[in-house]
Amino acid sequence: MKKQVLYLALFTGILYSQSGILIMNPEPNSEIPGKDVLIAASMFGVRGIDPDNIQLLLDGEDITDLAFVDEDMVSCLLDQVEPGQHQVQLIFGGRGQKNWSFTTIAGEPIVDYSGRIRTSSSMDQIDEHTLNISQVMVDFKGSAYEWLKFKTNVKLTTQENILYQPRNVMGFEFALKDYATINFGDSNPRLSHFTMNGKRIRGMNANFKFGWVSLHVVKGQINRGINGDLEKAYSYSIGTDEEGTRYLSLSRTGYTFAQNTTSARFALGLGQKFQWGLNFLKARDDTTSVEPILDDATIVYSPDATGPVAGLDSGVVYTIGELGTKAQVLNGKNWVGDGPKDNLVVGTDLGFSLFNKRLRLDGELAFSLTNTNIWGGPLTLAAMDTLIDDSVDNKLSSFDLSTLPDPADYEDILIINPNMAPLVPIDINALEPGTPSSELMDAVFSMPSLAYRGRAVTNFYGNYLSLEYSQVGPEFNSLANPYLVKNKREFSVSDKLKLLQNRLMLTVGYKHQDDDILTTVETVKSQNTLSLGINALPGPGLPTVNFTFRSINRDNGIDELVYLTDTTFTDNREHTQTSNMVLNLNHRFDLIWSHALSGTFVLVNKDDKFTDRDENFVDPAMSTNVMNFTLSTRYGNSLKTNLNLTTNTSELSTGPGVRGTQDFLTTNFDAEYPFLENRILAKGGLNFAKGSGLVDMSWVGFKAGLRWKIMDGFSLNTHGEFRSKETGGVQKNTVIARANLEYAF
Amino acid sequence: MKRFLIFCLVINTCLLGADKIALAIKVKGKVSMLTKGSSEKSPLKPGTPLKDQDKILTGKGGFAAVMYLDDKTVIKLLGNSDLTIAGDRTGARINKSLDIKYGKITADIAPQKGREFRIATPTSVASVKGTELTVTSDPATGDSFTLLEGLIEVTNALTGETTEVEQGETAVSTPEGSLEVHETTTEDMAEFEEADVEIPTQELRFEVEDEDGNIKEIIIQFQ
Repeated sequence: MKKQVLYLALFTGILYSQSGILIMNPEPNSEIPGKDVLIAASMFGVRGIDPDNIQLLLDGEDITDLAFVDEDMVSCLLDQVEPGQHQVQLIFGGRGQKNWSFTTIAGEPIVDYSGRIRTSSSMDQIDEHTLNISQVMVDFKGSAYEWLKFKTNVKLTTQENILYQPRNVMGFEFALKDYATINFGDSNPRLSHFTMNGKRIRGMNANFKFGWVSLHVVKGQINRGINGDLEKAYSYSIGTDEEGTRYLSLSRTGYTFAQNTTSARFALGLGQKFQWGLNFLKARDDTTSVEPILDDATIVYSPDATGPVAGLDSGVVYTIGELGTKAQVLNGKNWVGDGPKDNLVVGTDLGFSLFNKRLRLDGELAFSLTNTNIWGGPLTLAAMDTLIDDSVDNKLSSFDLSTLPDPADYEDILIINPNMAPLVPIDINALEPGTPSSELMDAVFSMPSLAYRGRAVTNFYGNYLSLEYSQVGPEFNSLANPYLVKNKREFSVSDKLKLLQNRLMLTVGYKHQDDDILTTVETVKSQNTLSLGINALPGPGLPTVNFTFRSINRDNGIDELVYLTDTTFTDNREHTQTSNMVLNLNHRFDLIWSHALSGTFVLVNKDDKFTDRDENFVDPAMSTNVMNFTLSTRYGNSLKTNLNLTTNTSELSTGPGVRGTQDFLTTNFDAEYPFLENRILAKGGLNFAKGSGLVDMSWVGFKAGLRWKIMDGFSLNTHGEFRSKETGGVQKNTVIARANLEYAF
Repeated sequence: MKRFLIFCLVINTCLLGADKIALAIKVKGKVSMLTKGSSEKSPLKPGTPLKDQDKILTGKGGFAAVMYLDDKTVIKLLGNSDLTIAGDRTGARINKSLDIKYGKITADIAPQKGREFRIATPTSVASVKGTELTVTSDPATGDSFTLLEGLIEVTNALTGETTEVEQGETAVSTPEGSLEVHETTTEDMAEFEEADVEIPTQELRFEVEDEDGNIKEIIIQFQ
């Protein structure tokens, strides 16, 4: 009897456990290519399987000998399976079997595509200001014959306006395997960190790769030409001609020149392990892209102190066409608006990885030449001869010009004239024979239009160490990279240590920044930042703790008062010490429902290091305490709520010798709930804030939204928000409404 | 004697299969694997069993799909990726984790029934319970985690800042310590076409222009 019970238990166990067999590949009833077909199933966790008794059959034919079989899994890779439906039988030695079928097709689809069309509208009414925006975006991408890929990036918006740079986006990209990627229209090419790094260019952006060699070419417009607002297109002064007739001298303003660029990068290497690149950027304003005379543009005439212009009435608006001979237009020189620019950047970069990417070294160096006003064209050698003095001696001051090429011969590359910034890119004295090499190197690396950076990153034994150095001279300029911060030198080192399988992380970092680049800098502005972070993520069910401390020392290098007279002085000194501490705790727990509780405490203290300030000095010292608590709850019925409470207390200077405090309390309550099998997600929320101290204010608001999956690939998203704000007894409202509709195919 | 043989068979079975956790189900292009403690790479082929701490490396244009044996959780590696697949066999389940050195990964993770699925990169750690997501990781520039379905929690390793990421959102975590979440855009999903993932997304973008005509794009997030 005992034996029978044992066999029954074993047999039941086998039957029960065989229900845990997982079909891994191909999925039942799936359609797959007939090449390299893998048939696999997992018996993981299933007890009582004898691998020796397992049989694998495809369409009734035993293929067990071709398969890998053990107690955990069965797998069999077949080079080619004929197109059609196929039946798999996995037999467990007479103790049951698993059957499924799949279909093979002749090959991959020749053409594949997908896309998305989105429309969105928004209305933001904030106090008295209203902004309405509507836009349509079309993304389409696909591939054909395994060698062609294509995609579009199109956006049409009501914000498009000839007075501004383009807001519409029209981009088309084609890729021929990995050999070539060509963009027409708008794209955001990246050649290198210093030369061109993501600014939108309208034109052609082509990238060619062949093994270790790659060439990236960009030709197009950085900015388009804009004639400007007709009411702000001219400024004027009143002049008198040789015959004593007074007239308006009109100068163009409020315009933007079209800025064209031709840029390229030639690189050797595959990028992952080694890459060396040469970068070149040429950008120039097109002075013909702005109309000098706009007949419909207007001015408001008023006479100056020297008297009126005959025939014009003060305070009257005239079009330029109406002014006739009473006005003369400055023709293409010294316009009041920005001068046309010319810019050349050359650079090189090098990067390589060692030890399977655990050590990464990279660096870049770039040098720029910029002309801030090319109206006058290039300077000739003859003009340089008499630039400083009147004597024709082939010398610029004491510098012999006879060995120099004529700058006018190179105007296609760069227009060189006295508007170059910098005028001389390097300290000429350092080029004199006999100058020590150390001084020459100092002169080279302190050139105002030089930028360079280097970085080393190591990742060994859970230790992520990073060292970086960068310097961007005050005159370094790339017109295709306008967001680069100039006149900045920076060194940083940080180390991140991961312990206990990433459950404890320690971070220390130091960063030094200053502007001590030029040898002529008298007062060096500097900032030193020391940071420490401890993060503990013990594991599921346990709270996470994050602590960050940051100390920032900022000094503008001025430590003396400037006395204007015996009794008046100016205090330009700045030396502050800021301490920033953040403590954050997060805990997920289940108590009837599932919750996530988060608490954050932030303490910021900024002290002035000078104690001898005048009593009317605007004290830079400040302190802020912030406490935030958030409770997110997921209820069993998919309802989700979020309750947030934040208090903020600050003490700061509000004027000469005056300090004040400001307190804020803000609360938010948001909820979302899905309906109809998640096809509709409804959202809503309330918020309240109250401030007291320097400014007494309060607001109360509510918001609501809906995300509706109307059908597969077609969805609607709406959001509305109303907020009533009272500041100093004055009430104002904010209304926000947004909706977008999306169709994916 | 019969009972003893059955017992031996069960023990033997358990011991022999103690470290196998996953199976390579699809491989394209240049893909290799390194077993723990070994320095020699071998080509990865469909059907190859994978053990705890096995490393998979894809070359340029390479692709590999790996399926865990216990719940059919699928991990896909795109080109130029380095992934260590880990799993601790406890009973009928595998406690899973991934260590991504760099590269692009997608994961379709089955519900883990109270267990945690950790994804670690040089910059971040993500805690997953069951979801479909894509991960792009580069030690130099950081990570992006795009949620196609479900919920994850991402922690920046520098600051320890933690954020939840929901369906249709992308978290960007950088070596400098920032951790931000935005609505997923087409750019976030670029180059994941080969992984054959569906992309639910919507976005609202605004552009502002300064006096010099420079345009900056603002992505407005709202709840």
